[in-house]
Amino acid sequence: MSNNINLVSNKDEDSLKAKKRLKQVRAIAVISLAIVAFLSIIIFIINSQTSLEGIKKDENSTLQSISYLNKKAAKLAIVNNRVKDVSDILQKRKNYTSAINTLLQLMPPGLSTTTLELGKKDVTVVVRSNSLLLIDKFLNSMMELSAKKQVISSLTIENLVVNQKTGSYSLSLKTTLL
Amino acid sequence: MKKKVNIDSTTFWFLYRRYKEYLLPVGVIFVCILLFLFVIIPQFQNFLDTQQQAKVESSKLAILKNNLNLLTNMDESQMDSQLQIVSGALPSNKDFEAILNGISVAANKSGVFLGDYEFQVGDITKPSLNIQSYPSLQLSLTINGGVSGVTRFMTELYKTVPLSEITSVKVSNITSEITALFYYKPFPPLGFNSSMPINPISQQGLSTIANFSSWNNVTRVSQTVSQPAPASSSAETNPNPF
Repeated sequence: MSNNINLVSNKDEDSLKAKKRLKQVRAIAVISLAIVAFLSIIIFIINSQTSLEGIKKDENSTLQSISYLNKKAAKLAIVNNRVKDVSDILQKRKNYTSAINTLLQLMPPGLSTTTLELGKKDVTVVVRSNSLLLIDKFLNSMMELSAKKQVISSLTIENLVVNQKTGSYSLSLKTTLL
Repeated sequence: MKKKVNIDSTTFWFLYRRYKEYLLPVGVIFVCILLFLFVIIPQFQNFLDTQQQAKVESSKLAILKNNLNLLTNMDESQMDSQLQIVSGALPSNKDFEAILNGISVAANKSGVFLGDYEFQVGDITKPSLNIQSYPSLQLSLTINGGVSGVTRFMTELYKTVPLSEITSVKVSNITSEITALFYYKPFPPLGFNSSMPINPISQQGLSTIANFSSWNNVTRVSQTVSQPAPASSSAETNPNPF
């Protein structure tokens, strides 16, 4: 005889389990429905608040107002462009005046310039004097200037000529501008 | 090996009756999952895209409003005078008249006498509007004066419009030779885009213009720009772009 025969049915327990499971499934369904509804409402609200149409409308009206001022805008653009160009030219153009003035300041009284040639980089200067001392003084000043690397970077004596008739000395120097 | 499951109608009805109550909640869950995947996520993505687009459009609108504000508050007569000054400093074409006037003014102010002069006109075809460099007109002139006269003339010429650059100087006892380049540049094409920010004239630019207004020959050049002369050379372009 089998001892394992259970005459008491456990149908109620199964039914309870099934009801519990059904309850859980229903709860999940309700929760998921609520979540979907909640998210839909939230997205609907934030989407309706972010209005691109309003911005575009505002943009179009501003563009229309600007179109009446296009002439002014073009003038401003041209002025800005010209200012940039002239500043560029002013910055890059070479100023020989300061170089000439510096050279002239170095000349002691009694020394005169007979020739001054300024090229893109080189300056050739020919000075004349009756005194060799003044020429020496000028030459020393030029060498000092070259050593300090101010205005000129190199100095070459091209020739020193003595005119026996007039008793004057003529010195030709070639320098390179900085 | 695949097992074939045969469900006959009896079994089907049995299963239906047994799980009938589950059908609705499971269906709801299934629909919710579908809604989430195919409606809510795309809508959220759409929301993010719209936000991004709104951000871009808002910054564009801010630029436009700034541009409008700037242009509305700009004094047009002042702008005209600034345009005349800068156009005088850098003409749009080979303005021989302005150059000769400039030289004459510089010579008068420096107290030297002008001798012969020679223009090297060069290419007379209309320069390209998109050029980046500055075309120039070369002028060689003789001055009756020594070193000090030339220095004074050069100083004055550098304070005279149109803008010039001295490229070589040959000074002898009584006569001197100067070679100068007079710059010009055609007006650039007006590619105005209102959605790009418009910059007002910078402080440096304003000081440059203010500096130019005290230069030699500015008044005459301004008159020429405001009343353009009829074209006399094939190289000429309309000095007034409006």
